[in-house]
Amino acid sequence: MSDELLRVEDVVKHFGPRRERVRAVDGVSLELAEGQTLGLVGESGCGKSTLGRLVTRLLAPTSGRIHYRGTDIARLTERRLRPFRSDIQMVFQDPYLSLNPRHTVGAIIGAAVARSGERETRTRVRELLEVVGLDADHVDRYPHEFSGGQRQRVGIARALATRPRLIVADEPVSALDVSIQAQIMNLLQDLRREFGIAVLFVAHDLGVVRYFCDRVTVMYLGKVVETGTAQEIYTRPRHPYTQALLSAAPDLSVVRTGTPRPRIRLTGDVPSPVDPPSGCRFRTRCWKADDLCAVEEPALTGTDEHVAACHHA
Amino acid sequence: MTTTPYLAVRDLTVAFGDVRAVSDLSYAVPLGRTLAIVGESGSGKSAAALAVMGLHDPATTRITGSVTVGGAEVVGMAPAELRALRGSRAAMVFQDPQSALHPYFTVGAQIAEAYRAHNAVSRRAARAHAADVLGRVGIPAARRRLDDYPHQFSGGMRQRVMIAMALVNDPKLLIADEPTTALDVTVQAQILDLIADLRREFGSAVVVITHDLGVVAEIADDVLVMYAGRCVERGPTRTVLGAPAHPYTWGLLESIPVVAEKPARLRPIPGSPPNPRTPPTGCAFHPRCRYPERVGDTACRDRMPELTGDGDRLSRCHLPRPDQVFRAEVLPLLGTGDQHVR
Repeated sequence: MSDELLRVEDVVKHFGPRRERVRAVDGVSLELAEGQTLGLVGESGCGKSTLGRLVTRLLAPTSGRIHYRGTDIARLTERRLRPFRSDIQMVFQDPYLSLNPRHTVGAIIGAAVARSGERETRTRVRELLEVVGLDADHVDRYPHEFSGGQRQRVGIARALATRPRLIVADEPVSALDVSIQAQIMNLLQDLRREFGIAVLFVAHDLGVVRYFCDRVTVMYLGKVVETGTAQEIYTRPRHPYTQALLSAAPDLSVVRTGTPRPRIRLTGDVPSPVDPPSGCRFRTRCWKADDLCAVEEPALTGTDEHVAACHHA
Repeated sequence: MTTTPYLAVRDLTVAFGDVRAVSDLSYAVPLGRTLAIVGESGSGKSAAALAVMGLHDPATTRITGSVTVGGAEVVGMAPAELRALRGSRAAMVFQDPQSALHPYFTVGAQIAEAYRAHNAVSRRAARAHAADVLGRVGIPAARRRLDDYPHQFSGGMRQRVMIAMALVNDPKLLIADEPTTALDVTVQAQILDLIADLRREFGSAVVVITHDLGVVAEIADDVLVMYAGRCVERGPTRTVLGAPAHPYTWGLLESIPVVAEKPARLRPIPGSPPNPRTPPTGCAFHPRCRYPERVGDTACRDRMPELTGDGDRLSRCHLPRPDQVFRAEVLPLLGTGDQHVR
């Protein structure tokens, strides 16, 4: 890939004691180019948020490599990570929990601004508030004085303060009202274009991901089941799980057709990541599964534009 | 089949102290139909639903207007009568099954108790009935799972348990408050199918409260859009979502990226929903609306528009000929357009 920014190779993250080990991320690889947006989708427990926290190195992987601009940051010590911390920033889901209620937004954003004089910091904070569409004069207000959407703007301003090249956004709009979601998505879209920031966008809302992302990776039970350009994934999904996920998303199009779209009904729930099924992990809910699926784990195969891990795709 | 509606809400107002959560709300749901109530946080959609079930604390809440369920007036009903109504003729499903089920009791015990509260039957008969309803909502090996505790069920299965408990006395009215918001999409689809099946099978009146227009499109016959405690538009789902008449409904449609296509750019509603303590004058939506100048003078700022319309669709807006504005100015922005046309 040209101008590669991030290359995650065979990353594994297990939690808990040996007997009840949760295999949250179990051998995931992905790539992201400078300025690109990659959507990471899947249902709760698929490992998408854990992967996001591994890339930002809020968590250390059990094994695997995370190449950021040529350096493997998977195992770096906190001290050596420091220069990368400003390059890779995170925007969190809950704008109520991720801002310290005792600090003014000026202090919150200021703490992230590169060390300089008090006056320069304040000028930069005011500038950042304006960049994210807030009133620069609100610099001395506390988080509770802002609405949910405004708080998410503060979170974005804090992420921008270090002039990052990569932002990991973990469900950045799912806690917001519909009318506010669209404001925040447009803001993220504008900022990434203006500053050329790459975004790893973790979300469960397939419409939001389609709107925002160049490429999409679908995860299931700690594994990647399909990766491709957004156009490919949304118009020609190959993996049965992706097909089911897309068909399950409630869609306004029934209003036009008058009849509900044919929906793939998945039975049951996602199995436990402590004891995932053998072979293909989706096989227990898959209508195409046969004996092969139980014994052999399918590899990701396909073209540069589109790969899927299924024996029957 | 428009007989007397099973649920009729007339001029309902719900106030907490001097904060009005719901104002002049009216709607009706006949048996066998599903109404979706849509709105953002603070729109009053949940406060209105709780009033229908008589669940507000009378010491802190002032409720005026009328709510009739199967002909019985709920506003001002005695607590004993309300308890008899809830769980039998009317039942409610909440967003978070985790907090609505008691963690110390098995689901079998909880469902059986809900049955015995309204029916003089033996424990054994109640248990058998509990197994029956668990099976009906699609829980595999229902009889064996009676002795499991809530934490032993997954999120989707717990929501099924909640629905089973609501259905144990065959209610004629089911109110579901964001029943799928906490669930993953594939499980959400299962629960929506289940609610639709149950309505068909038992012919109940169903009210679904949601913020998700996709859910509305999939499940509801009729839709009511709330903003700042008031109904701003209501009517058949195909009309309201296909050719909406209120600028707030337009804004919601313009804010949603759909799975089916990639829009060039979303056009969000500017600003935030108003604080219920300090509602705007006139039309509550006017500070965020694009059209007050189009209306001329200061009507939008000064006067609350009436809920008016033709036939079964009503809308609360001063804008003349909203259908033309929608077709000419809004529809072209909604992707390929035909997505939303009737």
